Amino acid sequence: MIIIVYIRLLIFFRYLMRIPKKLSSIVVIFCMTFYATEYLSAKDPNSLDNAWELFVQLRFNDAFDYLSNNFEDDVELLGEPFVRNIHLGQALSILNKNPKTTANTRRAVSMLHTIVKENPVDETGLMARYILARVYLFHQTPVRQNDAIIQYEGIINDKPEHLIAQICVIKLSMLQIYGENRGETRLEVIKSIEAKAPLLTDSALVRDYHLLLGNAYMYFNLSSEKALQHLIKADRIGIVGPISASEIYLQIAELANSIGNYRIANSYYKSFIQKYPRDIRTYTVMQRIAELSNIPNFDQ
Amino acid sequence: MSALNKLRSQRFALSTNFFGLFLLAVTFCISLWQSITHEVEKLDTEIITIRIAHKLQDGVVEGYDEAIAEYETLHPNVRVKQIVVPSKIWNMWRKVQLVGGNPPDLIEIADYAVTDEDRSRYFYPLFDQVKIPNPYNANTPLDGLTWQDTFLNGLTGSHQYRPLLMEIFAVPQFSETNRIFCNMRLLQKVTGDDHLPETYDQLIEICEQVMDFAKEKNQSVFPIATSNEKIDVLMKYNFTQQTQLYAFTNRMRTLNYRYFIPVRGYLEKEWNLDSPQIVQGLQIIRRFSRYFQPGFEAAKLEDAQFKFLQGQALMMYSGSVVYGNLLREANFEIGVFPIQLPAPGSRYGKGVWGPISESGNFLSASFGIYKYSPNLEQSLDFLKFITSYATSQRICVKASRASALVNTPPSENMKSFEPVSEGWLQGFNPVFKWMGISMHNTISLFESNKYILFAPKGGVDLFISETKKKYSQALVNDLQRESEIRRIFFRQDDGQLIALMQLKKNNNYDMKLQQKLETQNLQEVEYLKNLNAIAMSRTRRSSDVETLK
Repeated sequence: MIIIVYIRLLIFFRYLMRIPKKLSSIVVIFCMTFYATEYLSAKDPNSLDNAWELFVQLRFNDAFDYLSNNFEDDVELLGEPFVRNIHLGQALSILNKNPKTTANTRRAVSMLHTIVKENPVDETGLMARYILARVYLFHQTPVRQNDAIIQYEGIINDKPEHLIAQICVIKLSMLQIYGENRGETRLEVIKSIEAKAPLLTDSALVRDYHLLLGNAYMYFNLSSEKALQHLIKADRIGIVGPISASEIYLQIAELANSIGNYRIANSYYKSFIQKYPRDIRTYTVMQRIAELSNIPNFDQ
Repeated sequence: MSALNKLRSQRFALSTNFFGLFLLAVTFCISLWQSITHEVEKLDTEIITIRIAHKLQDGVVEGYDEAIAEYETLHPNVRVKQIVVPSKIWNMWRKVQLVGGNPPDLIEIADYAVTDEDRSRYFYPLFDQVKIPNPYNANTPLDGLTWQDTFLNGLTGSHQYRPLLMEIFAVPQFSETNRIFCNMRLLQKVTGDDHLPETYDQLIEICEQVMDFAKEKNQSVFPIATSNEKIDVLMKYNFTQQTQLYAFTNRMRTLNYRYFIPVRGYLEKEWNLDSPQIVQGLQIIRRFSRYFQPGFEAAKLEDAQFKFLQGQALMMYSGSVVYGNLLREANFEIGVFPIQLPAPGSRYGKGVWGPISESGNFLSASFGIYKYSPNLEQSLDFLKFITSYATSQRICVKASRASALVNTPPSENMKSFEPVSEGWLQGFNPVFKWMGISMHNTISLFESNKYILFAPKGGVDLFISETKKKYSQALVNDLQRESEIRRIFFRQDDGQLIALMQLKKNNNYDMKLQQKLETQNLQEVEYLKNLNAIAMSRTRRSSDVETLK
């Protein structure tokens, strides 16, 4: 490739521009150095981060333009894993860019299938499979829930330790709990999901797993004790969303209060007031603490 | 005679032509002068000029003028220009400025017309900035607090924090509450004293006294002037108090009953329009409607203000935003008090815990910084300056507004606007207006049936029976529409999620990734619950049809 470029430039300067032989070699080397610097800075793997930054900012059209303009030609030179990532980025931007069309979705799906075909178990392949599952759920109508479940299960079976697979455990559990009923009772479904706990190693996803189950126990009125256990475990790992944290503090306090675990209730009510002194519920929570202090033999 | 007329008309034409030419010349000179002075300013590289744009509101301009003068004294190399745009053209103006590529450095973005995409495209993310203290708060009661913690809502309001982007794009200036404004002179005339009502019963009694006074004196005086929009605020306030019970008994134990929980609650038969709390709430609204000025259903804020200032209404229900204007325009003393609703245990107060808390009230006038501003650093500094303890207080005094900052005591005349913090939790509003979710069909149904509630021949029962016919379907349609919107959000979320995973390899994006995962998982569960509620309602409807057959 480099030799071809060298010969092309040499012909251009030597024969078309009629620059003397010695001088033309110097000019060509200078041009190639300049070109290489520009090329490397534009195609530096880190510059793909600029595209991902645009995704974080929800600027999908800009991300598409960036990927198209900067990685169009000679992209193969950058190596296979990098190229696969570029293709993944292109597929994702096509899926989300405006205008949203069926043709775009079809094109992106076909690109994702190609990525999966090349290698279904490297990180890019797993991400592509995950996005395919999400396309079935959120991009296509009617929703293909069963196909999404098959994708999730496939990813979990192939690389259970990978972050994408761990995300799939949560997403799959969600569909099993709240999706179409397959003959089992909700409690049976939840218990079968509780058995999957060892699959999860990523702390953020262990937290989300406990939140999911705590929520489900409350939503279906199954067990306040179980809900409390799960939410406390989630809180110990650490809730990161500013709004969800306030809700979970109160859920723990209220659940504990309802089953007579006043010490925990009191502690979480107090933490809530300390962290959210201007929340609309703060005065009510203060009254709750006052009620607790009236309970005989309750040691604060 | 006709020749004389012709001459006159020729002279007239000539003089109008000269006048036209003269005007053209004057305009040309003014334009020339403006462009020359503009160029001179541009050439002066020592001076940094930052521009701040906001919606026209009484008193605010003067407040900012003072703050700007003070800032320019502190920073002699900086000039701040205030651009004030009328509210009616604000959205369009702002959009044009942003798309045109030369918008002001600081722009008010506190409204729903600014999409997440626009925010990320045009506005500077403040998440990292708000985590450090505001230097202008040194040696004040806010010293040592992070900039974020100096705001009443900790910048978690929807106009400041955008959950989808996990980013803060604006900081607010004012805190807003709704109050009843009272013409004290008229109150004295009607009741013989100047006692403002402290309970719902006292408020009703005064309203009745005004009705009697008007009849007796044959005067066109009404108890309360209000606007169409504020009736909806009153409805929200009233219903969220009446339904406090649901917040206590919510099985998700969050001490609230909001967003989609009440919508699903209706479809899952947790409540209906015949529930005592809803009936009671409607009865209170109907009662109030007797005391509003005729035609209130279609009245604008300006109409209500006009009636009040003319002395044709004893009271006016509105937001703190109008107070400055009322003070300037009224030729009478104005009393201010919060709307009084039924006390627990009273006739309309069964199942009510008490007044609802106003903590976490709406914070307005949120300013963002244009991302590509050539004066980014200086704009950020000015934003910190106007939202600092001392400057914010001064702006608020001038504008007769309450500050969005914590530990910032209101000025003497703004004390009545302090949010009620010793208030109980909120239930829900069956109209679903201003409840943080988009419920277009349900709101429209209420809007179109509202006249039944207020008409002399209408009433609460008739309103309920008419509304009930389409209510369930309206809720399902809204839930379905919202589910479609959620699907779009999840698509974008997935793009963000993969990007954050890619960036995690090279940068410190782990916290953002964790936050994304947590938020998305919780929202996806809510989405699935909504789908369940829709499916359940469909099954129930088809089984009802089967039973009828």
